[in-house]
Amino acid sequence: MLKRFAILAATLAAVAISLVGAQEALAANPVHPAQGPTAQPTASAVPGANTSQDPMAGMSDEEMAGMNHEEPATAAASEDSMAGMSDEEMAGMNHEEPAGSSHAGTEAAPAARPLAAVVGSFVAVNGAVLAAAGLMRRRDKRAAVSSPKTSRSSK
Amino acid sequence: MPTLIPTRYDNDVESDLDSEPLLPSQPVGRDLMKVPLVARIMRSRWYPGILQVPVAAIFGLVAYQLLAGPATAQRNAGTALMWVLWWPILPITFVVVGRLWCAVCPFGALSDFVQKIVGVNRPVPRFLKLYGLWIIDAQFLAITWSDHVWGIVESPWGSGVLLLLLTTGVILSGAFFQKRTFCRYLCFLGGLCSNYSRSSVVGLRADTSICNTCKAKAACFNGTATQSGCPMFNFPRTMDTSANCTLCSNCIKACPNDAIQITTRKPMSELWFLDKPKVEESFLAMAIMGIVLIQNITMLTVWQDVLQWIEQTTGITNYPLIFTVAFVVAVSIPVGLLALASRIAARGNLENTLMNFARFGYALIPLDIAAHVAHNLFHLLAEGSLVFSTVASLFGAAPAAGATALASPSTILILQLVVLALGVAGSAYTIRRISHRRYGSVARRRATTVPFMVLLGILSVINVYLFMLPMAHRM
Repeated sequence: MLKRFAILAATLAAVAISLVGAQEALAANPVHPAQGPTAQPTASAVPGANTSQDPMAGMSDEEMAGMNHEEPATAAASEDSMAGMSDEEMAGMNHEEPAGSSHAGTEAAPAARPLAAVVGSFVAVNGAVLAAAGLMRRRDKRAAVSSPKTSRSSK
Repeated sequence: MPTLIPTRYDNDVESDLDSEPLLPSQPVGRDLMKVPLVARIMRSRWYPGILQVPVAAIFGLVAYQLLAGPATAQRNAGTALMWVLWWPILPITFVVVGRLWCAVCPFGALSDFVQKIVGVNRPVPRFLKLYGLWIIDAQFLAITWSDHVWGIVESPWGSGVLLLLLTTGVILSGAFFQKRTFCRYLCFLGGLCSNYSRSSVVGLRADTSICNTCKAKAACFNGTATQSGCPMFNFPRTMDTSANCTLCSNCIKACPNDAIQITTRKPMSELWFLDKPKVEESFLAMAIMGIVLIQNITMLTVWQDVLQWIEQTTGITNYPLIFTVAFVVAVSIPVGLLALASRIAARGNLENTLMNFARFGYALIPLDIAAHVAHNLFHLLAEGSLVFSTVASLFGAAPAAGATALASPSTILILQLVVLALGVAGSAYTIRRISHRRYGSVARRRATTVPFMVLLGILSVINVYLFMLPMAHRM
């Protein structure tokens, strides 16, 4: 009986310690970027991970007052900054995604999904598997039917 | 097939060495088949088909959404249903009802269907019996690696392709091999289920006193003219683990003597009474621990620093290679620590290191489950509203913007730490129970318990530390 109480007490102590620990952790990180809807996404190298939050989420209209989505004048200038550059000068610059890179939160182009090719391959491979299995099953059944005759005749 | 581990029993003469027949076996709990409602459900011809149909329908919807739905994870109902709802809830079901999920899994139903139509029913290849669990271990690691390098969880397309690949494996297996070969020997999720379901509070067993008089030619295993036998290659009469029982109830329906019982038991109690530990299952337990660590680390703000440090230290600039280094290290830490603890324990408990590794890897399964559940609690509670908003958007509702959390940050963190604390307590108690069952002398018990308790402490501190750091959303 004492052992059971000891186990129960140890479990309760572990839970209590974790509760205190959680409070301490939250106190240390009052703005916990983890679960809050207004959490700032971290710049992770993990493809697609944690880059998906809208940094404006949670901001009120008042907070966003004065912000507009028009292109700043510098945007046009920056576009022009490459004007006149030759192909050689731009060599090595490309805007291709690295392998495995994806950006959750940005709508990928539908062309990025080879749906027809993948589903087509899936259907073709599995169709071939089913057909092969069907043929083998038929062959096995024929063999099973013919084998007793063979064994009788061999006797 | 278990990996046979040589013991030192034959070579060492130790007066307090417990011999195998004297080891106490797992006590039998209350038989739930004596509850009329449970018995009626388990013997019903509608079970588990009535659950398979809606699950298959949802699976179809998920697959369609993943492949042809919105390209972004946070707008895709398939991603939300699969990774925000199903994946976090799944390990909790293992603890409560064991591998019941496998009984209603659409893959199992698909395998049965293919088998019925074109199945050749070849025996399971020997290499699968020998190395199936290692293949599962490798798959689990490969899929986690692929998730980070190519994107699976946060990419609907990646998840969809994964489902298609798994479906192909199921069809192949169902078409050529007996019973549920894929579920038993190849499904990576099945490997996870089998490890976790050892902690479940219900287990299916046969009443051996009745089985000893049975004349039905193993109907529970082979089936009858009207009822299939066990699809997972279990023979209930000798079954001593719930790892491969899906509670599909085939054996219950096939048994003419009503010898099959579904009994209650203490959570984790199966881990205390294991007599045939397998290295590959212990390895999987440790690999899962490593996977939870890497999953946590990649969601932390320090992850960027880790990547930069690896880049500067190794000179590798390619992301997949850098991640591979981090991944290998993260998975190696728990495996290496268990090996080290096993080696230290071997000096005092007269077992060999491999046997200690196999036996006490199971003791860390409760911590595994807790860390897994705690990690996914974050996804479930912090991203949970995506399930409602994305599913509602299928019916024409405007996609919700902004908050995705179902609970406050403090609530989630407290729940995570409470779950972790329960896991630590469960693992500590399991280490104690295993060593007390195996070894008679105080010295051998102490020599065994101390290294594994220290290992548990280290893994617990690492987990608690990681959970307390700020995490970012996955989607």
